[in-house]
Amino acid sequence: MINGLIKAIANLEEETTLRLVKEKIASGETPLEIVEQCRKGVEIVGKRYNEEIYYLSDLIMSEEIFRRVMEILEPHFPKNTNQNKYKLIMGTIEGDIHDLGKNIVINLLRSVGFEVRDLGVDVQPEDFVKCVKETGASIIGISVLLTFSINSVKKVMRLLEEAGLRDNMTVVIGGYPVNERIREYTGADYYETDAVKAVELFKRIIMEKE
Amino acid sequence: MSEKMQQLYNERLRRYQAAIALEMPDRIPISAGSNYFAEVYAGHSNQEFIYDVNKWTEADVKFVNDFPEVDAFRSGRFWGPLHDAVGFNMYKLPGRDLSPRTQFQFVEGERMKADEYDLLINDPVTFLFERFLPRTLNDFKEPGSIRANMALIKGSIASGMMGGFMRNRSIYLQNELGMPNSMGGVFLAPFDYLADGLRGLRGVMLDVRRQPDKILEACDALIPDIVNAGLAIADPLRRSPIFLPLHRGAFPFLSPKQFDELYWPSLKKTMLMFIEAGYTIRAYLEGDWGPNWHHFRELPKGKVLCDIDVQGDIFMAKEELGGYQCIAGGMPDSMLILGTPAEVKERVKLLCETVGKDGGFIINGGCGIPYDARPENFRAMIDAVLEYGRYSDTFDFEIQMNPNPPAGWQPPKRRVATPWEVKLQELGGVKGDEELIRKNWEMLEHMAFNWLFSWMW
Repeated sequence: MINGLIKAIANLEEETTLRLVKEKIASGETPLEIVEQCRKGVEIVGKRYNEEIYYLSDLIMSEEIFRRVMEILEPHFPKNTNQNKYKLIMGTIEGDIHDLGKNIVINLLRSVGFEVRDLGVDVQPEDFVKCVKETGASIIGISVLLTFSINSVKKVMRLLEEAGLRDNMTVVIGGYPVNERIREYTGADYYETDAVKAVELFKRIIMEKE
Repeated sequence: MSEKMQQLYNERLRRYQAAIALEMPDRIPISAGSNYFAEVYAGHSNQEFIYDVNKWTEADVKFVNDFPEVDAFRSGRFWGPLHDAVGFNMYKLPGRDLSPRTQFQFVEGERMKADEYDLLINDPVTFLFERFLPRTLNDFKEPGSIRANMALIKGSIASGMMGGFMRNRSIYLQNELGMPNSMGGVFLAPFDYLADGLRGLRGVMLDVRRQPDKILEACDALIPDIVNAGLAIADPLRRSPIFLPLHRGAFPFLSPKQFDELYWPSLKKTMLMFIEAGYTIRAYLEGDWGPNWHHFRELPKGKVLCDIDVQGDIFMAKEELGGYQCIAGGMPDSMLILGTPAEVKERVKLLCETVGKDGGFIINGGCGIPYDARPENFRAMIDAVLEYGRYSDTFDFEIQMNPNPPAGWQPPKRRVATPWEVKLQELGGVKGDEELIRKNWEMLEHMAFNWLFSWMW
């Protein structure tokens, strides 16, 4: 059933969303229930984006609304409820400081329940591998916008191989210039150029892993 | 200029201009802004050619000697010391903030706040001095301080030097190498001024929903200053098109409705003003502009060369724009970087037989040749154009060159910080020819404003 909050988020009605969230808290709904409704709203936003009803400007708006909702909810979350979320590492490759696409994907992933470790931009290949060892994550998303940085992605793959971590690892590359040819060249498992489709891809990968 | 160089220059320029004007030259022209391919090809690191202007000429010479079939090109335009002089924080530079062998990169930021539209619109001088520049120039964080005053002085000296380098380079390219510039001068879409340097992408995208009227108002208010700033550095002889890199109008940043309402009207007005001043435009349609190509049919035919990026489909672009505007592109970056000469040759053949077959086409990568393209692939591209891209042995087209604007054309009002009337009053009148004094006063005031404006992206 689509309630008012889901609808408000789906329609990107900022003020209505925030008002409804506050009302729900006052009436005793738990933060988790509220987040779940927001997630459904964001899902509809993603669907509309796929159907070209919404565009990037709208995704950014939905992300902003979600951010403000989380700001309101933050103090109401019980402490230390680290649920078993699926862990994923993400970063923009060395030599590249573009983070718009990466941030959109990360925010969408978080809104659907992923735990994302964001390594930021200009990430050295070694640091991806180090983070795998630290977190035990088995999915890496690498954002690459500059063709010049493609070789660094290849290096990540080589280092994973050398560390014996390649077999259980799924590596997705994303960003405007990537295509099948570049995926093949780097040795990554998947590529995606669309933020919403990337989230679908990560969901599929998890299903396969489970 | 030697007669041979003059002849070579004319031949190249004529071919380039004919294609832009939708006439049929003798063959498909080859032209790019090099995107640092020329400089890297000459063996320099990105840091070297951003910090050492002598490297530009060295690279130009090597590039033109090795690839003389190229018809028009342009190499670097960033000079690191100018950025350092003022602490410009909108770009990360190779060798300073990034590895010496990588590309300079834009730094997103909110350098204008959501509630500053009215100030930008009504009083851009105050906006620049009190809000924008202290956030954008690290050496100008405290206006009035010695550090900040020095930044302004160093910055304007450096800009003057930079102008000199660019001018000398153009003259050298023309006289010694017979090579025309593929573009001269630059401007952005009004919306992109907001989306790039001022509000930043995130800021502007939120404004699209929260305060679209302010976006519209600001875009319109920016037009006269954009036109004047662009004209100030354009080719005085109107031979080369003015460069227009287009950013956030690409799919999927804005919805078609948002594009039609917020992006296009002010961009169209701005382009028309340059065209009315006697110029052509070279627009880099960066990213996928497919849904918005059709708009370029609204402009006078053969005035806007549209570079189609690799995310756009060059064949579709031809269908949409053929007969309206010349298009450039067609070579996938990944093929130039990772492919083989044989693949490149096949691709060029296909382009020549399809999009190129009846003119209005210039071969290029997606908005430039990637600087990590394999030189043998670039060579193969050129050879294949010579083999498959020939139309005829002779062609009629007169070079377009004119130091004067069309009759009756007037520039938009030139902005100054202190109007002459104020100065005149302070002087208590002048004793000789007032016009002679006023003209130069206003020229320098206006140039100073353009300098401030130039930091907006």
